[in-house]
Amino acid sequence: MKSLRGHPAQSIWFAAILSLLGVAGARADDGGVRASDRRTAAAGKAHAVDETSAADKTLAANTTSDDPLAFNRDIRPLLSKHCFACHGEKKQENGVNFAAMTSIAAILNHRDAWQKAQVALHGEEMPPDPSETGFTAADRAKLSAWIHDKVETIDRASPIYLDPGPPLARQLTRAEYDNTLRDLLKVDFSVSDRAGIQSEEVVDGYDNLAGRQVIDEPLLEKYFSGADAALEWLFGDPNRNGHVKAAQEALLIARPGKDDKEPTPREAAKKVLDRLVRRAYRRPIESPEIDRLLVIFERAIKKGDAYEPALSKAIKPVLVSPHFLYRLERDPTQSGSTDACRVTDHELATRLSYFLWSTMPDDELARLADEGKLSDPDVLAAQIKRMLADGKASELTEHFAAQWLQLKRLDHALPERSYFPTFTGSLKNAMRQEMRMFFDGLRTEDRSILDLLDADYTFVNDELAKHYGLPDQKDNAAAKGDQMRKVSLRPEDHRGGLLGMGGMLTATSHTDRTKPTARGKWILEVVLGTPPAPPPPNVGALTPPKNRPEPKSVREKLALHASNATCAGCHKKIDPLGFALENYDAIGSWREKIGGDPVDNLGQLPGGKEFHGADDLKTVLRDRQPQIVRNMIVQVMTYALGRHVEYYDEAAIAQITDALAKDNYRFSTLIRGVVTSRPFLYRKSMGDGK
Amino acid sequence: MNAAESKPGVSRRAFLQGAGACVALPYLESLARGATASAMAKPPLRLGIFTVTGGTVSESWVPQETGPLGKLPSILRSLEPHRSNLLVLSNLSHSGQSDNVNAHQHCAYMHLTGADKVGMVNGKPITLVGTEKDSKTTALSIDQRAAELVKNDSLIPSLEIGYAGGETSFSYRRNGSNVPFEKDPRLIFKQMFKGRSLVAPNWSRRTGQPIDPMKAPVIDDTYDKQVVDLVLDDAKRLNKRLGGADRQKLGEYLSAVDEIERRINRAQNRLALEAADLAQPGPSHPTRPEHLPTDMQSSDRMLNLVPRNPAIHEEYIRLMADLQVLAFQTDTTRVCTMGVGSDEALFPGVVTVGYERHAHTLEHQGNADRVENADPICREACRQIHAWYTQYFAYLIERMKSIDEGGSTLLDNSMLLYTSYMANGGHGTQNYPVLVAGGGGGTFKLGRHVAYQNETPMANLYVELLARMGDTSGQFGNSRTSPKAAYNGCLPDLI
Repeated sequence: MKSLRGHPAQSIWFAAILSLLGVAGARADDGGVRASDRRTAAAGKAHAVDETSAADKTLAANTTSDDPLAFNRDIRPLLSKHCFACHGEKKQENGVNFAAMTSIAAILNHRDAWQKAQVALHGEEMPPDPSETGFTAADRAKLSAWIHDKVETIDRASPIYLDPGPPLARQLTRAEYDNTLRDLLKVDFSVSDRAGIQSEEVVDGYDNLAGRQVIDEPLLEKYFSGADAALEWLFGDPNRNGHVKAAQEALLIARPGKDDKEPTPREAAKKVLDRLVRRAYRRPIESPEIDRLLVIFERAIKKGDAYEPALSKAIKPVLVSPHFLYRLERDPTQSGSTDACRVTDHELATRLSYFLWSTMPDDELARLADEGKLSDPDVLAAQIKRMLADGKASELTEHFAAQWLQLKRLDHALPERSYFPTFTGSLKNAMRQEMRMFFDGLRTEDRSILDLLDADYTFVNDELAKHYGLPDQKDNAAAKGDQMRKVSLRPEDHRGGLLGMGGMLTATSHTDRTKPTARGKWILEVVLGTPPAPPPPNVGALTPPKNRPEPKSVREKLALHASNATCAGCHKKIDPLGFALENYDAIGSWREKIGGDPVDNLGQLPGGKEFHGADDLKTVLRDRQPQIVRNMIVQVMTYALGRHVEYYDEAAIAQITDALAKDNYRFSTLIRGVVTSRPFLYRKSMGDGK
Repeated sequence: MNAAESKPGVSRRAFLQGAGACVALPYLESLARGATASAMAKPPLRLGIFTVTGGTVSESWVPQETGPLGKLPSILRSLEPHRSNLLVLSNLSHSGQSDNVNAHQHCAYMHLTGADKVGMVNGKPITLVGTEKDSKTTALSIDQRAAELVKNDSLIPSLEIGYAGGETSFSYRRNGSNVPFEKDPRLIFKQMFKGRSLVAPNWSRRTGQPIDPMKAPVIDDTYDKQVVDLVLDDAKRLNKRLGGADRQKLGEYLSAVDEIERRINRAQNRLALEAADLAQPGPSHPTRPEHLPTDMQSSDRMLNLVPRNPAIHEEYIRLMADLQVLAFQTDTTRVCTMGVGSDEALFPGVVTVGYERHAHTLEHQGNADRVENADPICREACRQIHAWYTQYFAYLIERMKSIDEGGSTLLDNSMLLYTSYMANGGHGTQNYPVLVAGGGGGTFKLGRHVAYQNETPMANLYVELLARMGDTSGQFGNSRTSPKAAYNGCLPDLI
């Protein structure tokens, strides 16, 4: 309630707001904990905000129903006796703190810690001195079996995995807002641009995560301006161009009759608003909604407005309504229950449409929802197929892929011209196009998502082909020049897949040299889905110890990471991955030598053996295929659900993984898997929000 | 509280007339000022924050001697003509801890909040103040706190402008949301002057001539008011059937609509006042900035060129300074944060040593926390960039000095804080570059350098500035809770 302190209690709805905030203030219901949050929790650091979500109650003492993992009964006592000394509140060796695992979420969000524990148990590495605390072979077997049964095995029928996650009120992103107005009113410009709505400030993840979305006064004011701009375009200019006329035709499905003939202005307006509101709110109309808009319409008519300006006034509230700006879903059950129910067909159409197209449902989706057919599995499958084939599905590339692959970073790459005279604006643009077209090609050709790791084709124009040193492709003479086209690659081209793409390689470089740390971090974040934690605060620059000579190479300099305990933990995972790509210079050109010496491209996967260079990196990444596929599923789910993926999503992940393995990892299988997953199809009631 | 909102007998709707119509009704003036008119005997105090990217090069910023300012260090050299308007403060520091964020975010989130702890939860920045887990509350930023204090008298509570190259936002509201920088000069101007004329308040006329608000005609409610009413009604009905998560969203939405309604009210009052000022204007004459882009294309072109072309970058910073001056001069807002510079920018011609021209690379290589660790050529380049930034602070001072508010200048009635979100290019948090310029309404003894004890909380300065804006709480950020708390949470020796 603090935000309203000093507020004049001037209106009747003020009290309503206060009560609202009173209910809402204390809750943290935006989708649980980020993976990186979890790591810090595992490291036992104090947490700014508790990581428990509403669903993650602390486990009760000994009752089976409140302790479905039998953790408190069977496991915690063992851990307490034999493990807490080094992995508890006082010490968190290796970043593991078993004492902090007091809820299902805390236990199951730390699968990596349990997997490490399992390995250590099998190798009899842990506990280090079993006889000291009396850790018996039976204890070892019990703990190991529990990890296997409860953590490593996903029992898809367990109530734990039937949870579809918290219900979220998702706000239209900037892009979704623009696309929706384009489809709703046929405006032919970006309303956001005109109203000055800024791009979301995305620190990590995606711009559509519900937890970070806020409508505050400056933004709402811009939505007001946006509504004005769209309506001004539609109705404001007496010399309307063809496009405006077409937009009007589409909107004004009824006009009042001349000379008091039917329909009356009110009847005509009702007809127009009926259709508009139904589309704008993406659901059937509720009874007084149109009447209330008609009050505004009639008042304007009474004051002498003509039909169109009066109608325009009645439309404005629709465009700033919470029903339009948020994707609201009704609560499926009455208060008290937190059961999950399927979303309605209209809600499904909306979820689907914003996921694949970043815009409102089209007429066909809306019709199927009206008829109650969309939830039929065959109909749904056919719609997914249709939607993926539609050009609007390239929004998946523009928004999902661009954010996942951190394409925006390329905008900020400024290679030093005096070092890299061939780096031009058009080359940068071709690099951007290559990444986009490659991803979009997975969709249009329904290819394997594993192509991202390695492929025998890519997309180039002449400039980029030359930059990559690709041979002239005489057979492809028709599509020469600036035009981007698909070309096939030979192994000696050292391209194919994300890791050979100039865009990624340039975006992760300094202006004058490569930045192995940035490249390693990119691979960990984007490909493997294991982002390293940020460096601790107040770490200074890398400084050689006093008695050692100045480092000569980047590798020698970065080796200082290893000599500093604060840095070593993460950088031994990050830097070697980046060094494997050293054959690509700061603008992604291939090089065999640096200043006469062979390129130092010794690399290592976290916990894996050493290897040399980018080609070998692709080979060793194949060993990590399960992890990489899982990460791709998690990324798509995060974007589709508007929240971070949590332990209760494991059953869905397992199901999608199975489907992908059976179907050659096709792009459409991934999308279909996400759409037909429980978290996508179901919604949990939050009751009264208690 | 605004007199208009509490005056019984006048329909609330009386103030909701559409923009423009009120201009002919100067006697509405007192609706806004009425009871508070006598308090407005002099122009109000403004707070301007001029914050540059990339920390600074302290050996070229901090004067060697304390006491009266002698010849200024090289980064501050262009401020020589304004030496008597400056107060350089050294050793101010942040001590907040961070969790789950990188060093850049750590510094950015602490910068104007003086938080004890910053972090990131669900991709959203968190700033907290307080020591015990239970007593932690959201740390808002100094500009947003100041905006709360003046918002009933201000048309726009605060402006956050600049940073064409993009930057983490520094402004946090009490509800935890952050306020992004508006980088497009055309939109900033539009936000300020849509439906208004450019007129400076005639502060002396505004004093002492109350007009009976009862004489105001009752005017029909406006169209935007109908929209507001209707969506509020929508939202309220909706609220009844929503679950917790949705209700929270709706709560945010309702607060926003509420604020918009109050802004409509303020705008109406203001238009009436300004109509009177137009008839009998104050001594200064605000003008539209010369280089203000007129359409979206030219705005975009400017924003795109800022990182590449120092001449355009300069034009942009000057334009932002012009807009800030204009905002204060026309009393559009009393709180403005202006972001200057860009990590992503290239500085050919500004940097004349070495080959590197990219600010961020130079900062990392040349601006390490300890001089002996830095590449000397890159450090010199950083010094050149920061000396270049300072010129535009000098320009801002000069502009504000030139504006007569009726016996005092705009600079006299302002507090300008020149600082950076980092102490140095190595993400340092100790001994920030800090100077205050402007009279603060006569509450500073200027022309000096004051050195405080090491690691004195930056929040202490914020307490001082906010007190001058009317904050009576005597604390801000971690002024009391910092492990380095000093001087009883204030700064001695300012006056």
